[in-house]
Amino acid sequence: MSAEISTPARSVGASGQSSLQDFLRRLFGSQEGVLFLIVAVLWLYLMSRSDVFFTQRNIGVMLSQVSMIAITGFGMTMLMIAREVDLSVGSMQAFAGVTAMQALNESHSLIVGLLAALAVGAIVGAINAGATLGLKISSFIVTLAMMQIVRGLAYTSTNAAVQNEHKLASFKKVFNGAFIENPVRIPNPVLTMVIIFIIFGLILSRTTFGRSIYAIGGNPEAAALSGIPVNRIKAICFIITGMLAALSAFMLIARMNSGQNNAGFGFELQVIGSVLLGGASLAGGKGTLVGTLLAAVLLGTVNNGIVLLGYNSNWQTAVVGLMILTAVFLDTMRRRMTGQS
Amino acid sequence: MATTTSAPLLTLAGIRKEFPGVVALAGVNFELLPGEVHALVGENGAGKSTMIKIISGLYRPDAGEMAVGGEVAEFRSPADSIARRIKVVYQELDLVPDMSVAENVFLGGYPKTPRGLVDWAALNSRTESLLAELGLDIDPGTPVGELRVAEQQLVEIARALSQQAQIVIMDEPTSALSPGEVDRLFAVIEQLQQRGVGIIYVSHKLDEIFRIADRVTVFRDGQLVTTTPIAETSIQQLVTWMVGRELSDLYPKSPAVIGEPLLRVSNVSGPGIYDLSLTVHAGEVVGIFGLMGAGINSVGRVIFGASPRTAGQVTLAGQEVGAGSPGDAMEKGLALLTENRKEDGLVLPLSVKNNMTLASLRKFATFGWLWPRQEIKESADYVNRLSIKTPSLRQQVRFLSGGNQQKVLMARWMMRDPKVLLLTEPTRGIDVGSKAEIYRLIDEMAHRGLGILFMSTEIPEILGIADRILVMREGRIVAAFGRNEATQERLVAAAASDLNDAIVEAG
Repeated sequence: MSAEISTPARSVGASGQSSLQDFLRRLFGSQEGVLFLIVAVLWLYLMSRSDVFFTQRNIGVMLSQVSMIAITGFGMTMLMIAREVDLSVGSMQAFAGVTAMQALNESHSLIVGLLAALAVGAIVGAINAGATLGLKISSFIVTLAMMQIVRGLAYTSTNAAVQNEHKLASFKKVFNGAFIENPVRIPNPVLTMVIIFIIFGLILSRTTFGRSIYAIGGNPEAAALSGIPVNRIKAICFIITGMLAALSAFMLIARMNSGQNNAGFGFELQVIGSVLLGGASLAGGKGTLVGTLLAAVLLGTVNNGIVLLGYNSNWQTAVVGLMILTAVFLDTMRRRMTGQS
Repeated sequence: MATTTSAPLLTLAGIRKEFPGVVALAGVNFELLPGEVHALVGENGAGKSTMIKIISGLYRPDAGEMAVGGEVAEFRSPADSIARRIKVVYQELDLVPDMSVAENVFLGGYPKTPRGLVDWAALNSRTESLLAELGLDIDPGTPVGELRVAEQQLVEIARALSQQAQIVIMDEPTSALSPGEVDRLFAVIEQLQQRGVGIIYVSHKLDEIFRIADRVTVFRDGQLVTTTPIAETSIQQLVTWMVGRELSDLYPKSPAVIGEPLLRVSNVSGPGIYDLSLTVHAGEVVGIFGLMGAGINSVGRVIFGASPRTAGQVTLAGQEVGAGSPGDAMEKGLALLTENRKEDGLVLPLSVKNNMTLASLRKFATFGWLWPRQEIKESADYVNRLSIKTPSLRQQVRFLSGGNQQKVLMARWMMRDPKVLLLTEPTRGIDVGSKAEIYRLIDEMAHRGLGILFMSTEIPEILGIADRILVMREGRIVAAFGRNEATQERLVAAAASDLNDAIVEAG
C-alpha cells in the first residue's frame, strides 16, 4: 500500500527559508553535495599529509587519468538514466585503441586515427543498440557478450600491441600536451573532459532529448504514450556511449604510445561505479553529469592518495568494488527513506 | 445488525500520529462494535489509511490509547495485531499465487499429522467447509493465481476466518469487482456480521456504504469529523463533511453544443475489442460503459495506437490516424489518459512540471533547445487552473495524492490542445473532491468544442457527464442510449447479460 500523506497546500514557489538554509539543505540533501564535501575533505587531508599532492603537476596527471573514466562515464550516465547499461566500454579501450593505432600507422594523420576510433565506437554502440532494442534482450546480457566479442576482436587484430610507427609529433600531445597553459596549465584530456561535460550537461538539462532520456528511464510506457521515440533515443545513447568510450581509448593510446590488446581491463567497472556513486540508479530515471564527474574525481583522488601515501597500489582495484557497494547502499537507503518501493 | 448493548471490539482514544510536516491523525476517538459494519470515508490523505495502519500494527501512534476487546493494545508489528485477531484485506491482495487455495487459507498454520507432517486431507476438508460457510464453490486445490480477483478476495476472507479474526478491515474491496461480484462480497460480509465479527470498511464508493454499513465515520485533513448511524445521513451530507464545503453539483453539465464529427472509428479491432465503430462530435461527451473485463480499457489504447489495431480505420477531423503510432495520433490531435496512473501515466521520479510538459516538449523548444521560463509559466498556470495541491513545481510527482496526480496528467494532455480527448477511467481511486474537479474540466473542455470519449465502469459518472452512452460487452458495442433514455437499470442489463456474470448474480 502506498502512504497516503497529502502534502499541505502551499502556493507554488513560496519558500519561507533563507537562501543560506536552502543552500545547505540542498548541499547535504543531494548526492552531488555529499560527494563534493567528501572530495573537499579528502583533498584537504591529502594536502596536509603530502607535499606533492597539491602541485600543478600531480593534480594535472591525476585529472588526466580521471578524464578517461569521466568522459566515458558521461555517456554511460545518459545510458543508465535511460535504464540501459554498456559493459563493453572496457574492451573498447583495447579494440578502438589498436584500430586507431593501425590507422595512424597507415595514414600518418591524427584526424584519421581519431575518426577510426570514433567509427569503431559508433559501430559497437549501434550493434549494442540493435541487439538490445531490436531483439528485446537486456542490455546487461547483450553488452556482456559484446565485452567478450570486442575483446576477442582486439586480440585477433594484434598479438600484443600495435607500436607507434608513425612518429607524429602531435600524437603524444593528445595526452601530455596542454592547449591552455595560462593562468594554469590545463592538460588536453582535462580540457576535453570539461568541454564534453558542458556539451552533454546542457543536452541533458536543457534539451528535449535530455528530458526524454529522464522520462524514458523513469517510466518507459508513459514516455512512449507521450509520443517520445523511446527506441531512437536509447539507440542514440548507446552510440554516444560507444563513441565517448572510443575517445577515451584514443587518449589512452596517446598516453601509452601504443595500442594494446589488453588495455581497459576493469575499466567498465570504474566507469559504472562512478556513475552509480554519482547518483544514478540501476532502476533508471535519475543521475547527473556533475555527480558522475565528482565520483570519478573521488576515485582518482583515492587512487592518487594510495600511491602518494605509500600504500600497496593493489588496493586501487578493491576501491572500485567498495565504491559500487557504497553507491548501491546509498541508493537503497535513500529509496527506503523516501518510501519508494 | 449491530447490537449496541455489547462491549466494543476495538476502541481508539485520542490517537495521534504525525509525519514530518503533516499531522496525519489529530486525536481520533473511534469504536467498533461486534457485528457492525463501520465505514470510513474521506478524501485521499484525510487519515483513513493512517488509522488502518495503526490498527494493523504498521505504525505506532505518537499519542493516545487503543484497546482490543477491552484490553489495552500496544502493537509493535503487524504480528501483534494478527495475534489479537485483527485481519486486514488489502487492495493488493497478499496471497501466494502459485499455492493452492487451501495452502493460502491456512498459510503459516497448517494442520499437522501426529508425525509432524502437513495433514493435507484435513487442510483440504477444513478449507472446503470454510468456503462452504461463505457460500463459495471453489476447489481448495486450485492455485490462487488462476482465480479471478473477486474470488481471491474471498479467499482472503476465508483466511481471516481460519485465523478466527474478530476484526476484519477491508480497504477498497470492490475497486476491481463487477456488480455481481460485489453482491456476493456483501453476502459474505453479512455472514461475518452474523458471527459477531466487526468490520471496518473503507471505500470511496458512497452508494456501497449506504448498502452495507451500519455506521460511518468521516475524516478530513487528519481530523475525525463525525461518526453517525448510516440511516441518519445522506450521500450529499457525507460529501459535504468530506470536502468541508458543499459540493452543489458533482456532475456539472452545460447544455451540449454538438458540432461537426471529429473522431470517426470504423470497424476497428484490436486486443480485446471487435468491430468497433463510433463517432465523437465537437462539443460532445460520449461515454462507453462496460463491466471489468468488457474491453473498455482497450478502446482508448487501440484508437490512440498504444495497442495494435488489427483492422479498421480511425480518422480525426477527416485525417487518417495511423495504426500503432501514438506519435501520429498526437500529431493529428488525439490525447489519451490511461486507467493506470502509475504504470503508464506518471513518470514518478520527475517533477510536477516535467510530468506536465512531457507530451508538449516541442512546444517549449526551438530545435530541441528548451526554454524553461515558458515551461514554468505554463505549468504554473495549470497548477492554479486545476487547483493542484503541490508545494512547488519542482516537487516529485510521486509525493502528490492520487487526485492531484490525476490532475497533473489531465494538465499534460490539456496543454497539447487536443481535438479529441480519450479518457479511460479518469476518476479511478481518487477522492470525491478531485473527481468533481475532473468532471468540471471535462464539461469545460466539451464546452470549448473538444470531443470527449469517456470510458468507465462506474454508472453514476457515465450517467452524470455523457451526452450519449454506448455499452460494451465482451469487446463489442451492444447498446446505445441518449442522455435522456439511459438509466442505471438499462445500462446494467445491457452490460451484464454475459454468461459468467449471470451465474454470479444467480448464485
